[in-house]
Amino acid sequence: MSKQGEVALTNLQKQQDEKVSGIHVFFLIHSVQSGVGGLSFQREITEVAGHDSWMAVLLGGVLVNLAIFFMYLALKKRGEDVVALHQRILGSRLGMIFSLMFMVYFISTGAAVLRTYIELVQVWVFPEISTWSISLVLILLIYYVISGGFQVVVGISVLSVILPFYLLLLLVFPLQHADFTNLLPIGQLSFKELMGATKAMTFSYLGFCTLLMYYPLLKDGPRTQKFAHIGASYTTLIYFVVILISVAYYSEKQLLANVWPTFGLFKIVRFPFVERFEYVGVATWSFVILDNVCLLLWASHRVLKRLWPQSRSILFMVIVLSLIFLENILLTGRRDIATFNQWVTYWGLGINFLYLPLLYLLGLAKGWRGRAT
Amino acid sequence: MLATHRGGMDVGDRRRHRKKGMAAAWNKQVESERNTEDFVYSSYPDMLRPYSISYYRTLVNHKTLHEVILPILEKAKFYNDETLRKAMPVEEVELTHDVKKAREKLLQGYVLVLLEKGSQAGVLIPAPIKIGRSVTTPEVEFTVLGPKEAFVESLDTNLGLVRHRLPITDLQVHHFEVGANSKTNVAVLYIEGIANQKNVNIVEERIATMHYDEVMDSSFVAQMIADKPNSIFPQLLDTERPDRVAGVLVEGKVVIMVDGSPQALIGPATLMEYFTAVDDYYMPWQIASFFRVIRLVSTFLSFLGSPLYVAVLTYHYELLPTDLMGVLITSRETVPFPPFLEAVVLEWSIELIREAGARLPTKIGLTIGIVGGIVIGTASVEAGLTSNILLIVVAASALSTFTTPIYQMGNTARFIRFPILLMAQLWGLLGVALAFFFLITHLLRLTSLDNPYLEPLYPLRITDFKDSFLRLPFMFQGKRPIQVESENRRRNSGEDASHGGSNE
Repeated sequence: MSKQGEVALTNLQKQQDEKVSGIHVFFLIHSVQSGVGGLSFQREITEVAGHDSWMAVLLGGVLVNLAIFFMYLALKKRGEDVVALHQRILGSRLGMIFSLMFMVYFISTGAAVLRTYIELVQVWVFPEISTWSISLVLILLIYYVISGGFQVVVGISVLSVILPFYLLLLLVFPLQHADFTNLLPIGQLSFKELMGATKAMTFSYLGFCTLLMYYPLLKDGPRTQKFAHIGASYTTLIYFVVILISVAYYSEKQLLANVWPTFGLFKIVRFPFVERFEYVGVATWSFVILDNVCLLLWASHRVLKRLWPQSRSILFMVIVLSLIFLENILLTGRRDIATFNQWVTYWGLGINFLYLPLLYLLGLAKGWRGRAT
Repeated sequence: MLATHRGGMDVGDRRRHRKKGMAAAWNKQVESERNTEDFVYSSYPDMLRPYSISYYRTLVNHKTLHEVILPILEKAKFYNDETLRKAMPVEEVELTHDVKKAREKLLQGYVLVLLEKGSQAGVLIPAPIKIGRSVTTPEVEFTVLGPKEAFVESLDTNLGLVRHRLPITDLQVHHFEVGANSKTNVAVLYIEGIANQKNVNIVEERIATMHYDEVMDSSFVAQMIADKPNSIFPQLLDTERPDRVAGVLVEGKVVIMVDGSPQALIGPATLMEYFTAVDDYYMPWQIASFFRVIRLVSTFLSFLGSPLYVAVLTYHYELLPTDLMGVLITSRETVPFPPFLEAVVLEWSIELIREAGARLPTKIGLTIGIVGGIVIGTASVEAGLTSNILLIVVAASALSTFTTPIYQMGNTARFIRFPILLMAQLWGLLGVALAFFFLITHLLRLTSLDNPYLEPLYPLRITDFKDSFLRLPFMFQGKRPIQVESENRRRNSGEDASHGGSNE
């Protein structure tokens, strides 16, 4: 069987089939948005906005859709990704620096998500598990996914939406004990509070700017826009339902005292054969977060490949994953992780809602100038 | 060959040289085969037309030899090998000057006649004996409903079985020979105009570049042309049913048949197809879908049964309600082992029974099942070595894996449980989830003839769900699945309605 390897002649054909069809954008957008943020956003926004926090969820959803709209506006004309966009608008040197900024952003977001999940495991299931062991396993899994290429990353996105879907159905259980008068009176928050809550909400919505990297890999790109919007709106809907149930189920003080209110909701789930459903919830949540990390790290890897096509992917992945591993070990305790997440959130806010519109405007201005001359 | 021979007739010199060449070389060949027990060489120098005849006794049909070939040689008047060829009432008689070719043909059951006078070439007369069993009922893929014939070892018989079901000229059969020693005949079947030429090319290219000296069975081919040879998942579906083969050919797939193997290979395959039984199509669609869901769900649960037991009892006993926990604890009261060891031992013994049963003749196999299953199971529970709840879980999962219609997938399903069990011991439920994540990633990475293996789940193709998890009625099956990328997506299309659907 020595010459089994000789069958790889058809691999060239395979690269042409690498593109994915439009419906997968729905999954890519939705799955990267739903991650660790979905476990704790209720507390963070209620801290600022009280029982009216659901408004922040909706506002955040609108802003995300707006951002996606602008992304498509910027990308669809030439079917390029953000690296090409940078090259065109900012020139090669400056463009490269800003592309690298994206790369670091993707990596740090992935790291933040992973660390938060490990903390979740440590708090809810295995208090004594060492960070390094569990993060090593997760990192190996992530490497296995990413080394399969974009197709596998997308596949994981799809399945990580489909498989944990049953968790949503379980929200029926807390509904039995919900008191929707908690939501009243509506509108007791100032504009500043609303803005503050929306800002806090964004961490849960972030990640969708990976679209900037995989856009050229979509089959007829411009037509996928509706799927992207549907995906983002679906995320908003889910968060909206979850915040409504959380506010109705908990009292405001309870909600503020809960680090992970979503798992608190699962605690009430009871079947004849399962109590304490949150264990199952934590295990299932690994699907929800691993696809985020995979997509984000794939995007960072893609930046590298676009800037230096000759570079060695394996080396890059090993370095990045070792860095994340180090970060996982070095960050200990809630406060460190919260600080790191905060930092990533600010960065994400800046990139998605300040830098990208600016870049778009710059591109427009350049386009006008180009047309004038 | 024939043309050269005719040309040679005019030139006396070359003629004599050739004659001498073949005869002399053949004598040498006979000399070297002297010790071969079943090689027969008889020469009749005293006849009016002296000739010699050589063949392998074990490969030749003696009826043909004695009732057709020898009487002709006795009676007929022939002056050279060409007239002999014409006089012989057997098809595909060949003339050859090539000793090497003659030797090869002899090994395929040909008889070589060499005329001593007026001859340049050897006359090769095919008289192969047909060894092998006749068509019987399928045993691996038995179905209660539907046709009851299964492939046998002879490639010609198998091709005939398929051709009977697809009497159309578009059915292409391409021939290959693989194996330096075994010289195995391999046939690649597809329907022109329906199958995607890309898939056909991949199959033919891979078979052509296959290098191995002994190809004994189609599973050799399956392992050697697989996209990922190191995966435990079968990537080409093997079947012994002609109706399944005819069905998938019409769907646009490529079929590989190997001489000497009663299993045909089908590609490109998806994971879902391994849970498709042929009689899903012979039953009302609701019932067929119900059975299919039972197979899928039970196989899925069989991965999780004992790992969940280990995970819950090792780490998460608070997961279970008090009542259920009480039952579990009572059943484990006297068990001196940790759950993991208990589960491994029980899984092991189930595998033991299966393996012992598989190695023994049917009747003894049954006895082994009774002895192993009932006696060992009951006794170990009574002795307090295992919990009877785990016994139920393990037995039910073992049973579940046997529901897979394709035997190879059942093996894979039984194997996967052990790594998951290990992960359950290491990290409890999280370990099970991570093992499952790994499994899914692996399936996503797998391809069959460069087509995604997890289709229609990924790439997500809603229309292909019509015949994957469920089997929807035929009125919804008007189009071929996207997965095969058929060149003609519509069934029953064109002028000839008999092309599609009748076997599906």
